[in-house]
Amino acid sequence: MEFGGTLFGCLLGFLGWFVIRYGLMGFYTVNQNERAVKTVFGRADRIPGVTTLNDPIAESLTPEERERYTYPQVRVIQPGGPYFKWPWERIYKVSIATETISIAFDPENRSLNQGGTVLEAVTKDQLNIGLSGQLRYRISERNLYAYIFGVKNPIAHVMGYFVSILRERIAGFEAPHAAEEAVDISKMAGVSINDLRKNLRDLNEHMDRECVSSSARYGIVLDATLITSIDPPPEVESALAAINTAQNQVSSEISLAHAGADQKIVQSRRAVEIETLKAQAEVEPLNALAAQLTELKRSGPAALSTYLRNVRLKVFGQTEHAILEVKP
Amino acid sequence: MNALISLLGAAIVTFCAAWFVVPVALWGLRMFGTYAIVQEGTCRVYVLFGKVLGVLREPGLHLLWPRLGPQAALVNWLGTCQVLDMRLDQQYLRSQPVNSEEGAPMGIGIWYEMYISDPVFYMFKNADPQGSLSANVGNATVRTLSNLPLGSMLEDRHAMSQAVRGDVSPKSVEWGYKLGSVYIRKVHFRDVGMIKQIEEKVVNRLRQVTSAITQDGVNQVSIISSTAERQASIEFGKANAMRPKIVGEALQKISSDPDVANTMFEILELGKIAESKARVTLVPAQGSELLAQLLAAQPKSA
Repeated sequence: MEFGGTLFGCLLGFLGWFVIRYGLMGFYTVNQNERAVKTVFGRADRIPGVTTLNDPIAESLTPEERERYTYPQVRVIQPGGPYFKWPWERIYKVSIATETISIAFDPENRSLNQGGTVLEAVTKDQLNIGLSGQLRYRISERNLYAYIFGVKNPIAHVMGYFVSILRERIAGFEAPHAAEEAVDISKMAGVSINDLRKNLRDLNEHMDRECVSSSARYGIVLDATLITSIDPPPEVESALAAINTAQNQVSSEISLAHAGADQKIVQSRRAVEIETLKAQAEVEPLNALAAQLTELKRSGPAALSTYLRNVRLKVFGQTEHAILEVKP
Repeated sequence: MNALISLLGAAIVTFCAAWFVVPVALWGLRMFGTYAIVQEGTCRVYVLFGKVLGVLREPGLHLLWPRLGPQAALVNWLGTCQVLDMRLDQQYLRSQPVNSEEGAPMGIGIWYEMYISDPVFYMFKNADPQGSLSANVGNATVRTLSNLPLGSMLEDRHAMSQAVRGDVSPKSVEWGYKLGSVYIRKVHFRDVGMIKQIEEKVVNRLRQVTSAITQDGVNQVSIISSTAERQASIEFGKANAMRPKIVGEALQKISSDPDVANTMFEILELGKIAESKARVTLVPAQGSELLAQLLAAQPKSA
């Protein structure tokens, strides 16, 4: 009887352990910003016969890259729960929230690049410049296998890939010249630092375009490249500032010259108007008098001479000295 | 009562023991090669008495006895089980020294990806495949990229990457270690003096541009001013010509009738004489010319 009780106790103890170990400890949840992948005996829960090559994210890969970056598609556990797992199953959770990282961050040595703040690059005119900015990324829900199981250090890969493309772009960057664009001396000078600063948006867009395959390669989506500053060495910066000052000064002088020229042209046009009006003012009394005399002439042949004699009378009134010829 | 105590005691002891006994039992089963679990991204290579007994590449649960035979029971005791990381790895070789065609001392940073393609070759063909691959990539970089023109060294990086990759890949395959993507991550000048010289060159160029901009501005201002001067002169000329034009036209019109014109000018002359308040001396029309001259020569006060 006692042996039976002990055996029953053992059974009960084992059952209790089983319920706790295999039951209660098997529940888990997935947060809103998380996605999870389950492995069964170490093997990820795959979708049979489907790889990343079947997904549109692989479209940007070259044929040769498609061979190398082929990862199985896995079943992604969406946020929610509680879910249940057996002890031989393991849950890998990753946050898919967007993260930001400095473009100068070196995952292998954080003290490099001035403590991960400035990334050096060489421009087309062989000038050393410093870039700073951020890289926004998130883990791709469509290629979780690559991020969790396929790549040893995905961030190191993404940074290596990104920095290579960025430096290559900067080394060959030349501003696009529009046909109708006016000739700009600073562009003719081949100073690519100015081109880079003026076309920062192009640079960012190029990076977004070129790095689009990072999702298929490493399971990380590059959301945006935000280059915030491009700094040349101090002496070059000062020379660039002198260019900008000269440009500002020139444009100010040109504005002044335009203003002066406009004023002079307007003044000259006004002068024409003034002279015209003056001459018209001079002519109007003559026209009026002539018209009146013409009218007077029409009234009779002697009208003009009579009127003239009448006018003379006024002058006679002012006469001080007259010598009159008298008939004998 | 005793029965209840022994039941509870047995239950508690069993409950506590199960936490240790079950894992130890499973470990024992694994040690005797009953089963093995291959995690994702890993590979297991079993070696017994100097021979490769088997390679487990597929992740999941594997029963070793049917796969490896009875030797599976010994392999964990007398042999080895190497777990290899099959994930994609990367390495960055910083500042590999090369010279450009022009002789400029340059540094090339080359970044490459690699992964194990054949676990057995990886383990036994080369004692340090990773180090050898790194040395090969470094060597290929120096060999392939030395004496390239500076311009292409800075700009044509894709071609350079392809060249290094093509050079290194065949050898690395022999060691069971494949090269993935290769990127020229950095091309930089090693000589500080050269960097300074380039800076000076750029600064001089910028100064040249500055004076060109200033000169261009002066020229533009001159063009604007002289264009305006020309246009203004034309307009001022027009202004000066307005009076003769308008007055002349009016007089020409009036002169079409000589009587009217003569009368009008007579009236105007008389009017001006009257307005001037001058002293008027009348002389006879047929009088002596001398008289008129004498009168004109007479002083005003007289």
